[in-house]
Amino acid sequence: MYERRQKTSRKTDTTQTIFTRFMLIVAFFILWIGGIGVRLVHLQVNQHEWLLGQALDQRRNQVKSKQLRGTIYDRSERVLAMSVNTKSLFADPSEIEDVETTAKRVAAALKVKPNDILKNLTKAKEKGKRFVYLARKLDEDTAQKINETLKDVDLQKFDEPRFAGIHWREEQKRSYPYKTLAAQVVGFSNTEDVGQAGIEQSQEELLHGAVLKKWQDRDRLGRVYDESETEDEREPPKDIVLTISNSIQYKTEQALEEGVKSANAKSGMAIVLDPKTGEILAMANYPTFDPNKFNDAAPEKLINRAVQSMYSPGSVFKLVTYGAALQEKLIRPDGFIDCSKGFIEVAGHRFDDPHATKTMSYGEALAVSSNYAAIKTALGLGKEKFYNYALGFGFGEPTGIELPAEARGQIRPPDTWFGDSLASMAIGYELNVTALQAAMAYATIANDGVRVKPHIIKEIRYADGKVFQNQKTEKTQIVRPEAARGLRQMLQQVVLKGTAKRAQLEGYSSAGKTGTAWKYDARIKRYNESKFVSSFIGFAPVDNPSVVIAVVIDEPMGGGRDGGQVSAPVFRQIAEQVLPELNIAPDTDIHQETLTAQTKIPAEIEIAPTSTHQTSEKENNSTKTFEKEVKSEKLKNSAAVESKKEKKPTLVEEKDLPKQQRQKTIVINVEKPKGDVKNKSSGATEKAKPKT
Amino acid sequence: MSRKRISPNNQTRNSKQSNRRSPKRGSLPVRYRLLALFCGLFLLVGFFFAARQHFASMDFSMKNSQLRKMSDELESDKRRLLLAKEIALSPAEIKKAAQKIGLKAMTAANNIQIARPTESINSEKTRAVGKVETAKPKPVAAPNKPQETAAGEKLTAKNVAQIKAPDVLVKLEKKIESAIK
Repeated sequence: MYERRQKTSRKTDTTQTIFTRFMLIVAFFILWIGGIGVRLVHLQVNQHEWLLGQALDQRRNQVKSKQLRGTIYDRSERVLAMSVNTKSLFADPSEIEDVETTAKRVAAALKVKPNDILKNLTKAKEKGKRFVYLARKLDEDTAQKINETLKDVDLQKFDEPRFAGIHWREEQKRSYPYKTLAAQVVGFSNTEDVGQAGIEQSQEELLHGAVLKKWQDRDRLGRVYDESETEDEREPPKDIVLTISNSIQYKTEQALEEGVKSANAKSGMAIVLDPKTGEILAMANYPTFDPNKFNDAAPEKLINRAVQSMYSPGSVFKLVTYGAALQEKLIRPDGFIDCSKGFIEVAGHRFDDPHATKTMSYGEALAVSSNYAAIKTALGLGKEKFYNYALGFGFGEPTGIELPAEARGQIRPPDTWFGDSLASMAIGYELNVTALQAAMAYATIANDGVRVKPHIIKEIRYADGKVFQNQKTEKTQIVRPEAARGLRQMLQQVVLKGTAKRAQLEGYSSAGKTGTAWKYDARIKRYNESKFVSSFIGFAPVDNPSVVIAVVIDEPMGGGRDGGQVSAPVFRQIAEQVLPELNIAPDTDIHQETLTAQTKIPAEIEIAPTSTHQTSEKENNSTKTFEKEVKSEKLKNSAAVESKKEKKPTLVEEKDLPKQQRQKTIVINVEKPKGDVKNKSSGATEKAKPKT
Repeated sequence: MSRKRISPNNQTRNSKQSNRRSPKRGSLPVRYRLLALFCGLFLLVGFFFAARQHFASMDFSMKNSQLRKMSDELESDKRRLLLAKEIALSPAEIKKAAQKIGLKAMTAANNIQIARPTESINSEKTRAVGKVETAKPKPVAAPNKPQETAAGEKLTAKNVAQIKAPDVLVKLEKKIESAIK
């Protein structure tokens, strides 16, 4: 019984032991699994973000790149500026173990001194930097060669170059295939692809590409198996088509360069534009620069003088004087003016004019660039009207062309004028204009008195060719078509008989006006009589002008210095090449002999408004007296025109005229603001000699 | 609490009974076994197929990525070639090439002769003669007279034959061909 009981208890003990042990193991497992569960919950819930980031970091990488900057085309779709992909080599010093060997290998690949690279890498490694440029903006061929040189066979790296710690970065490089062509117009962008000048600067917002973020998922070998792309909120870059014609631009630049060099001048600018549409066909500056190497260019070469520089236009501005007078019906192209006096005195300032020796038509007066006739005409107009017409022709305001830093010009309001300001302005002094403003004034006359807003952008479009924006033409009638036609006839006389015979064209009629103005010297605070700005602005053919060409040469030093001798030949050279290119039918015969009589060209005489100011005691003579006198002169003049209309006018020498018929000299003394009395040079009379 | 004791005889009998019964109870009909086998196989094939698809998709993704890269590179090459073409065709380069082969700049008179429309000349003539003539195309320039190139240079029969495609263009053509291939 006892034995049986003992056996039974022993059995129970064993079973219990087994059961207890089993339960312990189960408990252990439960605890283990529970621990794992808790850990999992902790990882999945609390550390989710961090772990996700870690996981993505391991298999994902982000590549940032920029969409290629928009392309700039000329009007015939030729590329003026284009961006291409390039590669920049950089190092991540944290991934490099042996800096010295790396520096040697990289230097050998880049063909540079290893010391420089070693220095950079060591410095960066010490500072804990993870990005050091080794070479920037390399082309594809060079990159391939570097990849071959920097090949480490033992390294498991999918991307090229297969070398530890060395990587490529996609960048873009702006190229200007035509180099110096239209450099100031197109401008340039810096290494960060931000426009710094010209269209590149003014249209930066449109040209600039969006930043692309590319997410790449990689396997353990670094092979990309998934890609996704995002871009910033910026609009995709647009292409810009300019109104510039590369062929016309090239010819203009060639002619200008030749003109500047032959005149031994400081600089020059030329503009070719279509007066009907306001499209700029060419805008040239000399000296110029290569936008591909803009760092090497002198700062003054980067300026687009045609829109950024101002100058006193001189006689070119007589267009406004005569244009306004024709519009106001004060004069007629075939009307006559008595210029026999030879000088005119306004507010104590004597304006000499050696051409003013006889009675002549207004056409002739403009042809010989008579200051006397222009001043008298302006005095007839009066301050306000003259000022308003100057504004109407577009002076004193930016033209609104799509180029950066356009100068507005300088033309003071009449209430700040001096006594002789009207006279000075009538011949293009005491005001500053840009070459584009002056060209646009002539374009207005060429376009039957309609001023069209100039523009240099023809079209803006997306990369796929879809048009984003077209240019709209803004037109304003400034003078009547009849008045414009009359002025065109007068301007033709300048080319046929006057100061611009060198602007006569082979096969085409042309018209225009020369200008030779003294330059204002800020150093001596007066006009410098040894420095000139010589210009010629004209158009062709006369009856239906297709192009307006403005040529401005700054400080010609050799030989002839006036616009007729320096700028008119450049105009001729440009026009004779441009007109056939535009398929304009010739309207006159081809004659080679037209320019043989070079010596007979009357030299233009410019008298700056700087002669000794005679401060009269009768300074209180009001402008009313002046206006009365002018009115009576106007009446006389119109009566004379009417009477001479009947008979065919013949030019009368001064000595043949009776004394009474000679024009009176109008002397007006108007008080000038104190402290601003200009030093009037007595050299005006001396300068007033024909320059041949 | 009394524990029911099972005699060894009983135990043997029971186990024997159960052994006798088990083939009947535990064994499934063949069709069920086949179904189970089929399901197992289906699952296995499914997993295998899914794995294959996964790796295939990875492979395609990689290929896709490579092709995309290649397409980008070709696009870049195209732009570079276009740029090279523009450089080669720039007026300054053409002028240099023309000067190299001895071409000279045209005169204004040559230019105008080319520009003068034949119609207007003919119409002037017909007006003068007083009869209607069909406008005959006037030769742009006499055969022995030089013609104009894009850069405004003279072209004569002699030097036209001498003109060869510039090396740059030949290289470009080759590059384009290889890129297409």
